Amino acid sequence: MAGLSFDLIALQLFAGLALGAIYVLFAIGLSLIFGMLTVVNFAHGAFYMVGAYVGLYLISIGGNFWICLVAVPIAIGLFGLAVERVLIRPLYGRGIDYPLLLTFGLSYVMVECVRIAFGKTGYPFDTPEVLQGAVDIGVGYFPLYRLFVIGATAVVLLALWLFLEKTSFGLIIRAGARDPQIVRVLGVDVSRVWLIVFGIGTAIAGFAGLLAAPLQGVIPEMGGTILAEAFVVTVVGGMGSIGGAVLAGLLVGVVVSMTSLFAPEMAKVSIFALMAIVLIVRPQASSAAPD
Amino acid sequence: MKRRRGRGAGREGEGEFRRRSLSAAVQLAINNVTKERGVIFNSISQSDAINEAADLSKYTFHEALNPHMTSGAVGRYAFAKFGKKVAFLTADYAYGHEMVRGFLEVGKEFNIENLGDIRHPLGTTDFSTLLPRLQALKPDILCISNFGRDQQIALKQATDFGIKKSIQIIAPLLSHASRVAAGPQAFEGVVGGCSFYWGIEDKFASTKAFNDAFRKMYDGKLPTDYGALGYGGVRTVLEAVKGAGSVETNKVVAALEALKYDYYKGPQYYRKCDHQSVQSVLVIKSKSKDMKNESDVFEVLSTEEPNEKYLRTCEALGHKS
Amino acid sequence: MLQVSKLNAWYGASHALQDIGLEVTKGEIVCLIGRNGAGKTTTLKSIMGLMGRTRGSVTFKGEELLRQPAHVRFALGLAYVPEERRIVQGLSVRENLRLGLVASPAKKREAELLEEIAVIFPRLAERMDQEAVTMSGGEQQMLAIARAMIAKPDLIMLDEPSEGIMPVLVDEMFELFRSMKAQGTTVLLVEQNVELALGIADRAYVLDQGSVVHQASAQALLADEEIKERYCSV
Repeated sequence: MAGLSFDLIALQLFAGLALGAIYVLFAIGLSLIFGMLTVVNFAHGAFYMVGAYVGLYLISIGGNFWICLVAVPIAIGLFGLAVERVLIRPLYGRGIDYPLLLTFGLSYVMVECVRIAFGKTGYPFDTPEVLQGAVDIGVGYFPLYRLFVIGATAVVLLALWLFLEKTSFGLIIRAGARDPQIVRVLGVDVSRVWLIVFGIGTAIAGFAGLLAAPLQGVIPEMGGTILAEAFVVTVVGGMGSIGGAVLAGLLVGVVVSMTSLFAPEMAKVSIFALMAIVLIVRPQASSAAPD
Repeated sequence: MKRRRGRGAGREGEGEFRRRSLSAAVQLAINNVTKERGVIFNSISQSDAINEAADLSKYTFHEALNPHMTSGAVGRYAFAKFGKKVAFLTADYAYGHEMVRGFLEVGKEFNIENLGDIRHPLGTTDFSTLLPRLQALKPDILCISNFGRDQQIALKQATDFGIKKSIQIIAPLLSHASRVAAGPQAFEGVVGGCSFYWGIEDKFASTKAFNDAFRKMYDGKLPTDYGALGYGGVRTVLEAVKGAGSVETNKVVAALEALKYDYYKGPQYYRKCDHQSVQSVLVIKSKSKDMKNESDVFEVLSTEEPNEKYLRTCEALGHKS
Repeated sequence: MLQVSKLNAWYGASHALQDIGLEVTKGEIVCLIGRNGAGKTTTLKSIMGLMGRTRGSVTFKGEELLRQPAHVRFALGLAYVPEERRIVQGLSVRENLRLGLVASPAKKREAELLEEIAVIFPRLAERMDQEAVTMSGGEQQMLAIARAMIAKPDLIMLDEPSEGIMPVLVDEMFELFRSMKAQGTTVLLVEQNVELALGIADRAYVLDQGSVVHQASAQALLADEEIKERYCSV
């Protein structure tokens, strides 16, 4: 095959970062929820998928993509609040496997409900008109929409960072993830905090699903693949660590991209190989403290 | 035609026939069982292996196109028209491999230059890391041999990367359902093959009759490629039973072998040596505008008439003549 | 101010507290003494609402607390400094102090209260933006106390504040308790260092195997070698 040029490698690196952006968005919600609630949210992929479908529905009734960017996270966040309040809350204090199994089952129910409501075959999801096409980024052409995804991810991360670092509620979350008992003793109603954290985590998942929709269309099973890959991201970055999830998400994107360049058949396996290496070299990685 | 699982499929003797549309691997596995049990199996998924002596049995029929026929027809059309420099993006399993083999074979007649073949795992949801490389190869034609959701996503993302601006994308098979699921943008201008498109009803009375019956039964909807194949696969066995006046397996097999039929897409028959249905292949292009109804998704560019010369020879398949 | 009567608590099947009764009136320093495992920490946890299964009665400023979650008890003016200090990793000294205000109506006066606390704890004032867990054990204990005090609770419960801390800092800390008392803060203290504790306390309860076995004024207990020998020697 033709030789590798500098431009191609640079473009490939960029493609990896863009790919990583979706992993990052998906994994920070997962990590936030795990870090705070010690709930391994197996329904995270289903929230992501429902986010894409809510976007599809809103557009079908006359909304546009920009409205969806605001409405979808709100809708999925509210849905997440209801799920936490009604289904997950009764399981606190019963061990990590209870909410894990519950969310696992819930994901099947959600996928099935969407199949019933929207059908089993997927739908196209058009890229918003102003973001269509490819632009020259100096080393080659790159889809404008993917640049937008990188930008949107950066905005979400910045907003989340400001929220966690600069607000009292963020302080409670950071402290509560380390030591929930001490925040209770200091007067915080932890169950309310957990509720809100679950809502935020699922809202980000819905947002990620919406962003992914124009990349690959929507289908009821779209949350499954990314869930498996995002677990790798959270393991590599340290379960519950948001900063770790960001770095690991980008790393996984770049690893996939570079593997694709040299051995495309191995691209999918490379993700899991990376996880295995991290687990062997740094066994404590899977339980790193949150930050 | 009952649905049962695995080894329970069919008793020895008579009266049971199977017709399935599944992935190639499942099809070959079912074939192994039906072969052993002496049950007629008329398959409608694309596979070259099912025609080969190693897999074929007296009871195996193949109503669908096979990769050799499909890629041959599409290749002959595309290589003559769009250029000789070809790059491949291929799903890493039998279907993809067989399609590429077919394209390369027919490519020899056109002296095509193979710039490279990038293989991707089944179930890939992001091709963004593969597309820059393919683009850098600067081919005239990018041949994407994958199916279902892989194909929908690959075409969508190739569109996003602006590949269509300078490169003609071809695909061996363009499925009606995939085109509907992925939308007009993603498939726009892509050229590929299919065994059936409802739009040939102007040409064949059988197609018109089939479409009308289908419309009547399903609220005015039109049949898709695989819908038609499913119909064809059942109809041929049914007609063979009627013709034989019996459900005894050997008699039905003989009747199928003798069948010259035109039930939905023009004339067809099963070749003696491999029971492959000799039939036309449509070369189609996906539409993105001037669509008259929700099923108006393809334009038929050319039709490769049924001819045994477009099939692999009986000798090549390992059958003794 | 605080009345505890017939308080029972369980860890799983084990009956950790049996009919504990005690009382703390406003402005007092009351001390709980007894051997390891006598139920002192469990008593404080039960009062704060951190025990799973409890029975009996805990009233604070006239309100029954037993069925209230911990954060409601805090809102009523009860503060608790747990044994292991529980300084939150990853947070600065300032953030740990702010954590003491996040759920309090006093949050509005955060800047003012932070300044006030800095005057009381000059050691913390110097280290406001340092990561809290990098400080010495004694400084972390000071921070834990400051964090519990910043919202100005009516009653503060302290569990083993002197444990594992340099003697110089222990003296400094007990000096602080005296001045807290002088300013009207009520304290319920659990302390291994009996002599030191009784030195500042008004009254004390002696616990053994989950029950109150003796109560007396601090002065009387200081003189009562037999009780100290029986229930407090290690």
